[in-house]
Amino acid sequence: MSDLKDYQDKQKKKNLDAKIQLRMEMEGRNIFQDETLRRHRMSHGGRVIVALAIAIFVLFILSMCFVPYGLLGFTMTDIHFDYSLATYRDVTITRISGLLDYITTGGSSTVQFVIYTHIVVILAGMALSASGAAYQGVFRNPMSSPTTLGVQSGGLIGGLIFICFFADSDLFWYNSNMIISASELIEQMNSQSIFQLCAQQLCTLAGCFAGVMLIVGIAFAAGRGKINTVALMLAGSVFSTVINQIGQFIQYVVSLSEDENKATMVNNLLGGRFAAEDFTWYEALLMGIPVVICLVIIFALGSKINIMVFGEDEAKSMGLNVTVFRNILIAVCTILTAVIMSFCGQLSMLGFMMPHFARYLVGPDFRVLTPVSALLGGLTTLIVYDVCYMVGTTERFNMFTGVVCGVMSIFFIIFYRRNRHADWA
Amino acid sequence: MPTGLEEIRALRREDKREHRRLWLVLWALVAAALAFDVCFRGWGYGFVSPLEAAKSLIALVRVEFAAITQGYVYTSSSELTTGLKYYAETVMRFRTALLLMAGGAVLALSGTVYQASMRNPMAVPTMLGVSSGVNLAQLLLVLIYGTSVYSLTTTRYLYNYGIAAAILLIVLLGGKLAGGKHASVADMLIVGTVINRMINTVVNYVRTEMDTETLVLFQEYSENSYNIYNQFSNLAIMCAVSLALLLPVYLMRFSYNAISFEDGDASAMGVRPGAMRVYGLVAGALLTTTAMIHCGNVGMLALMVPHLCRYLFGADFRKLFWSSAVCGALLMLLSEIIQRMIVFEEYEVPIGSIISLLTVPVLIWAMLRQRRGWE
Amino acid sequence: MKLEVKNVECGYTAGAPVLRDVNFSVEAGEICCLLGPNGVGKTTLFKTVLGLLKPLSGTVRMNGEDISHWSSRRLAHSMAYVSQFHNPPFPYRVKDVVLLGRINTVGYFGQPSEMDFEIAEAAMADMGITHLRDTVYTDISGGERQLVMIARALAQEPELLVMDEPTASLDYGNMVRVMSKIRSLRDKGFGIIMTTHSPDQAFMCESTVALLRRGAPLVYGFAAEVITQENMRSAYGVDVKIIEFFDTHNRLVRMCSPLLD
Repeated sequence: MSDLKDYQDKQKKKNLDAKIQLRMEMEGRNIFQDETLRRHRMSHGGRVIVALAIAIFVLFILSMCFVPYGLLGFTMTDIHFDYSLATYRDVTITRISGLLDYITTGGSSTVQFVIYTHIVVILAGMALSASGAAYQGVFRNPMSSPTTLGVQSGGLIGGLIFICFFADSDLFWYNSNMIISASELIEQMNSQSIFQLCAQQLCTLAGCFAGVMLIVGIAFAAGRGKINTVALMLAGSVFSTVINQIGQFIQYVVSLSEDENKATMVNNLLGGRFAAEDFTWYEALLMGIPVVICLVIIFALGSKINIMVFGEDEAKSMGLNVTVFRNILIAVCTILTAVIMSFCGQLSMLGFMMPHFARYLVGPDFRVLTPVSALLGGLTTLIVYDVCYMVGTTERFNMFTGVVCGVMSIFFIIFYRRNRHADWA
Repeated sequence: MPTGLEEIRALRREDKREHRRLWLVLWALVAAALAFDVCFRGWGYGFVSPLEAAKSLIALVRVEFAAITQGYVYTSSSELTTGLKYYAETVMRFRTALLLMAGGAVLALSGTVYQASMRNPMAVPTMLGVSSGVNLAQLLLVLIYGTSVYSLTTTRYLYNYGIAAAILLIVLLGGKLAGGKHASVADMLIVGTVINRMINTVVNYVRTEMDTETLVLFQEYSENSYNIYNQFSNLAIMCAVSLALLLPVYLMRFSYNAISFEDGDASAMGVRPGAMRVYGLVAGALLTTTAMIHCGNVGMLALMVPHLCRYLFGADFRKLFWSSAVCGALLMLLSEIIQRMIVFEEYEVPIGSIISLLTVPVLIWAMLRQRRGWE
Repeated sequence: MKLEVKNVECGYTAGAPVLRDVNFSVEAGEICCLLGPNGVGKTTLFKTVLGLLKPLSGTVRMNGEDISHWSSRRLAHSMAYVSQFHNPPFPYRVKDVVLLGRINTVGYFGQPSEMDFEIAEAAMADMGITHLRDTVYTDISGGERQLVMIARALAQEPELLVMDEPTASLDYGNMVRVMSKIRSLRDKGFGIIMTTHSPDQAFMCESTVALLRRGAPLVYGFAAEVITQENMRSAYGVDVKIIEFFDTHNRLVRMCSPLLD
């Protein structure tokens, strides 16, 4: 009896394996079958990862030491060219000495805020791009991203609800421009519960989850169990339009009210908070820890995403419990988006653009794709930030990122979808 | 089973009577909403008596008549309004209500045409970047002209139509380039979404940077413009543009049923769907722009009304055409009444936000109900 | 009414025809079944017959006239297409769908007249679906939907019906019901071209058969002549046996049964 069952199971598995093979061949996504090809791709991907990491590191150091604020000598409002070579040299020397001083003795200097801000910028780019790539794999849909799935809109409304109804002067984050020492921070942390400490982040997170569940639920309902791309785009678009309109009204009301702090918080959420290099070490730390953990999880689950891309039945036949991994990945991606949202404000189109760029560079293998996408995102945000920094308008960083990524996306869509063989490629 | 001509004719007679009661209810609701809107003076102010409101409106007609005939019919137009305490107020509200009703009807029709052309019950003209184009145009106008923005006439139309049309062109062209030979709705939607997000990001950022006065001006100008542009001349411009755009749609109201089916199917029936689709897309976008210029940021109405009408009257485009116009006007009027009823921290909630909020539940309900029709 | 397909070479790009030397004809009161393996070009041939695709060479003639220069309206007037059903995105009622068949008479800017309604109702009565006229098209069963599509084609008042796999994805009972409707249409004098995957259906409606084979000329003739062991092997690469027996009314029935390993 058990022999028969064994035999049947084996036969079933065999059939399914054959089916998967066939499907891969048909769809030209031959990434498991041909071992040499796979190895070649992996090594190519490895080289790209190393190159990108080096590029980010070098650019980080360079911008730390040699990029003074307003290098090009003008801000958006008034133009004045007052940087001679001598001043430039002086600024650079001050920067380097300040940096060395900060590293060796831990002394306070403006350089440290520059470092933290750069770290925050890189982390934001990496987090959003990685989560965009993972969303695309999990939902098996090349048009998913934190922006199009309504995650960011959900986060926006969550944050706005917090600011409108719960923001209170005894909360830790109420004054976002506060700069405190380590001992004060520990004291604060001891005196407040975790909910008080992270109330805004938690609200944003709840909003993000609500947004992604709503949009993906609609897309699933429309496609009867698998995601309908058009429904996804439409529902995400409608949702973000609605939220945007409400957000604008709330911003209007809060700006006209007397409460300066609330107005700053709303503006930070809508327009970004890179106005000055005011990211402190605890913010970089509090943002960095969850981001790094989530990124590690996403990178580690790359092979699982690979299997998920081929569909639920096939994945099950390979002995993978898809639902668990899918839920983990959705949660991780959403957390990443929420964290970036609550620390840096809205950064749209980044998670939409970078995975396509990465797929163009290294192909569809998610083990390589997610890290490459993350690094590309980090590099892009770093470059955009440095340009903003040189021009002297860091407060427009969020807007420029959105516009740069939007323009890139349009060109990529035109170039890419035109030469596509399947929706995935 | 009917085989004879008599039975068939009896069935037809029954068909014609089908929605008679629904229409009666709808018209009664419109009349009631209009009467309420004109008579209601706001919280704490009570109502103008309907009799006086009616007298005011009659007086308005006579005054306008005197103006048109240059004093030939009614010479002393100032005497016509004596004794009417709330004349100016009532007339103002009546004008606003008419403008909003016309705007609602135009928007609803643009949504209906769009959904039929795109073969998709969730399509709405705002998706293709039209509404963000209008937003951008209004932002530019406010930034360039400052407080003198209200005195603009031609420039205003030029900016709005120009930018909306430019963005529509980019989206259509981008979609065509992206899709290549087999360009589909999805391609255009993707390009449209990206452009929408980009413009939203920019507008959001610029709003955070504005000083309070500019912000108030921009908010009033982009959300509550119907309060300012409620003259009959504005209404006439809007109606003229919309009617010109809608006339072909009205004549083709039976044919628009056919292009809801697949292209091959439609052409085998003897209809060439390409031109009708393109006309639907362009006309829908321009209609939405027209309505948004006059009534503020209310584009989401175009998504909601066709769903409601399809639920009430069925999917036949001939019935949808009229019912969506009336329902759109009614819903717009109702949201204006709601807007005057609720006040959020002493600020009027804009009509656009109310309509957006109403859209979400309608949308979810429609998605779950119409699940079968999506494939 | 006579449709003739003469020496037609059809395909999407010149120089790379999908099918060559296609010859067959359909007359009023006759059914022609197109049989052939997947991907052999049945759909391409269909599009060519319907005038949606120009033949690369050869002619498709309707009553002796070349159809390649006909307008889509004239085409729709002489032949009606019954596609494989797909849902329209909106919840149309059955009567709306059938009435749409009148659109080629009504024109782009016209409205259906009383007579158009009557023709549509008569088409529904013909197919026996009058009781469904007020239900939503997307809510009825597959077999009923196929009947609605046929009723819409009838409302076009064509001479020729072109059906793309009318029984695909129908259960056995619905398949038999639809087939008997098709037979009764044939008896009323319509010419019918249909694709099918089942040789039994060709036997069932005593039709002529055009058997498309990959890399070999098309075989055309009566069902009993074309559906033979050799032809089926050369077309599909499988062995079959043709069974003949007499039913209770003493009529000759043929069936085609595959021989499994």
